[in-house]
Amino acid sequence: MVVNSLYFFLFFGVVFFIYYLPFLRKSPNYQNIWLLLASYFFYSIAECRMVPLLFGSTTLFYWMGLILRKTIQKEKTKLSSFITTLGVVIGMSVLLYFKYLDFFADSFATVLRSVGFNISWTTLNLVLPIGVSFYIFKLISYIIEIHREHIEPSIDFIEFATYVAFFPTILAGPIDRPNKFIPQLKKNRYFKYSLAIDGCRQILWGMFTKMCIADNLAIITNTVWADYDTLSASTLVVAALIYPLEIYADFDGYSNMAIGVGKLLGLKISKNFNHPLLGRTTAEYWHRWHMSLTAWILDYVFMPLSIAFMNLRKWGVIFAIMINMIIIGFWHGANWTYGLFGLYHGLLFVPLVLWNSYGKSKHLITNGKGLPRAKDFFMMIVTYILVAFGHIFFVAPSTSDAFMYLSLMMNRSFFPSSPDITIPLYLIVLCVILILLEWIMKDKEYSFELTNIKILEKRIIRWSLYTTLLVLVYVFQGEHTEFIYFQF
Amino acid sequence: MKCFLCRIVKLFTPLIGVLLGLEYVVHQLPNSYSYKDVWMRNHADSVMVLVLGSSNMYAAFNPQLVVHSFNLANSFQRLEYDDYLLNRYASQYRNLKVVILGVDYVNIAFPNNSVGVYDRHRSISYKLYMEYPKQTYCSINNYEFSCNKPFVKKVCMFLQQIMGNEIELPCDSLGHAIYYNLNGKNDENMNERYGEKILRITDYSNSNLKYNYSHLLSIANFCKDSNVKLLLVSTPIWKTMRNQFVSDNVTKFKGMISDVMKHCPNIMYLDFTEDPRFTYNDFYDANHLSENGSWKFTKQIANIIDYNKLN
Repeated sequence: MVVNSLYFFLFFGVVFFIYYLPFLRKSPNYQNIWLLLASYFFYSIAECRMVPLLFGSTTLFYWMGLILRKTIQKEKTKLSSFITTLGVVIGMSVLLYFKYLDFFADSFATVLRSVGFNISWTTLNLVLPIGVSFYIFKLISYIIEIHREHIEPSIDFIEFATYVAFFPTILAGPIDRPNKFIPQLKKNRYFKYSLAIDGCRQILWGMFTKMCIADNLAIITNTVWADYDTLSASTLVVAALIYPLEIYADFDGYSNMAIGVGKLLGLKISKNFNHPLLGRTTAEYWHRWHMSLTAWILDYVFMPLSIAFMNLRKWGVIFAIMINMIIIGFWHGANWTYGLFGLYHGLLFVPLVLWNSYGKSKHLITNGKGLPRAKDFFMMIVTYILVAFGHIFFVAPSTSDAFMYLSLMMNRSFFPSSPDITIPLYLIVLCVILILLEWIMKDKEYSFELTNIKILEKRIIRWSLYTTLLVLVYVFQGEHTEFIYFQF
Repeated sequence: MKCFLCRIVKLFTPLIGVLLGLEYVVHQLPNSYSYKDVWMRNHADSVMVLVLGSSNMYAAFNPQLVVHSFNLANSFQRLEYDDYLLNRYASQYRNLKVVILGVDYVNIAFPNNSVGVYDRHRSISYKLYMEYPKQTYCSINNYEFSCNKPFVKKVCMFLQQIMGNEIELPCDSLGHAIYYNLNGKNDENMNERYGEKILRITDYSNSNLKYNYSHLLSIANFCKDSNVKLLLVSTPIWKTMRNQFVSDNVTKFKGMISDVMKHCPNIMYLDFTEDPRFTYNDFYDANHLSENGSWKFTKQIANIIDYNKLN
């Protein structure tokens, strides 16, 4: 049941109406119970076999949270650290087992074979539970935040389980932090008109970017990647340049729909993107891209590492960033391509660290005509191209494919005798609309946030805009493809 | 909450109204499915030679050259639909002597999903215009608007009709496809890549072959029981596509044909796949014959029918 499907809307309609029934609104607990049931139902449809894993890990971390609280109250620091470490290890073990065990086993066997040990290795071919990377990160952050005494553990199991399994975010994030999300579950949620309308707009915008842009761009990139060894260099370059836009439209589309659904339920979900196409450096790009993941890694990996490597000064920072980016890369999946993707992005940070500009993110300034300044615009283009090249590693099925793709881009004749692919005009127009709105709405939460815009105060104009977007979604939607981030 | 729901209803009601209106209008537009269904319901009793199959046969067989024949083939028509259509008019057949069924490397391995990626809108057409049993009445797949691109195309056709342009059926009065003419030929569709694209549709898994074979057998049994000769015909394929056939799969395909022939003695198999008489200009693309090729092909079939005194 994908969030942009008719079945999801039917499911959500039922959840929504019952959620706001007067007897459920009496207590946040009732609403939480209902949300939890809906979330487990939703997850069981996506991955029925893995419901026990979700429930088991939730229960385990819930108990660990309670024990951790007791140890903190009794000031048993060592025990508290031990429990926290245990929590992190258990969480990581679940991830390693389901996501990386086969990969490490294969890689280990390859290394042994290369030094002359012929071993036969049977991989377990484990099924990756959908959303495991997202909810395990939630659980780990919960235990660390308790240890750091930033939050109190949840006494109410239902409340905690609802946080972990909340259906709009369980499959592909955003990775909500407990200190922001759990307090919302403690209060009664009443229907708020303005929040609900904003949520609807965000869902509509998410549908537009996913169904009209990402799904149509996916047709082109999938075609190119299926036959890349026969295509001209220009086609390979175009496909490489298209991919970051596709993955952004796809993932931002999903995130907007999830956040919109959350708003309709009176819950605020963390922002996942802040117009990353406008990033002027790789650092800025990563500050704006998949923010819930990067913030998680920043808090729990980068900060401790940079403290540990403080003595090495700039090189310590570089070292921490490299580890950080490689972890981000491997978080996406068990493949060396993701490791290289992370390493590549880590390397892009090196000059920024050396020039002391990796942490600075200046506000974007428009020129007199409302456009970006020439220097900013140039930097955005360069950053986009650099990111696009990194995504070749991200999308390639193997490292050899990635390097082959890169070498064909350099060695093949640039222009084909006849075009290998055609990009429909409507798709170009839709992409231009997306990019323009990214720029115009750069200070807004998402590109279709219509609040505080004078011209849109009249309802007829707003409604015309909604209708236009709905018609565009219907007319130009591409063949339905799975959300890219579901596989992570 | 009430205000929110009211506004949602107000926004969506006109949109849904327009959509349903357009759905109705699109249903009224002429199309090959409704045309063929109406034709068969009115003339099935006079048909002596009935042609079934996918686009290969739809393009290849010209019924103008064989008396009392009708081309009931259609683009991407699975054997499942051939089976259904043959049975649909069974009570009306009075003179049916020969059924010509297109079987080839591609359609024998059409994937077994009734609402597949490639032909969802076509599946809908069989349901809507040829009364193919619906899975559920409330399914969205029973409506034209559930496939956005073909629906938008049809709405554009409707708008053209309003502006006074006549809508041309994609087939002639006897069901033969009319758009495979050399004026529209694109040389790029004769190359390997086109063939590769077509062959990507095929699924030679055992379960899928079993599904297609069951319908092939059902057609053969129908012909045997009705004392009708069944001609299984593989239409000519251009070498760029033919060379990409996987030999194991070709063996599986041939095996299926000989199995079904063993089962029913009234079957004749004609293989034109590598026929050297069909040259470059006889093809519209690597997989379909052009008007010229169709003329040549139908003559061959007519001669075989005459020679064997099948009709």
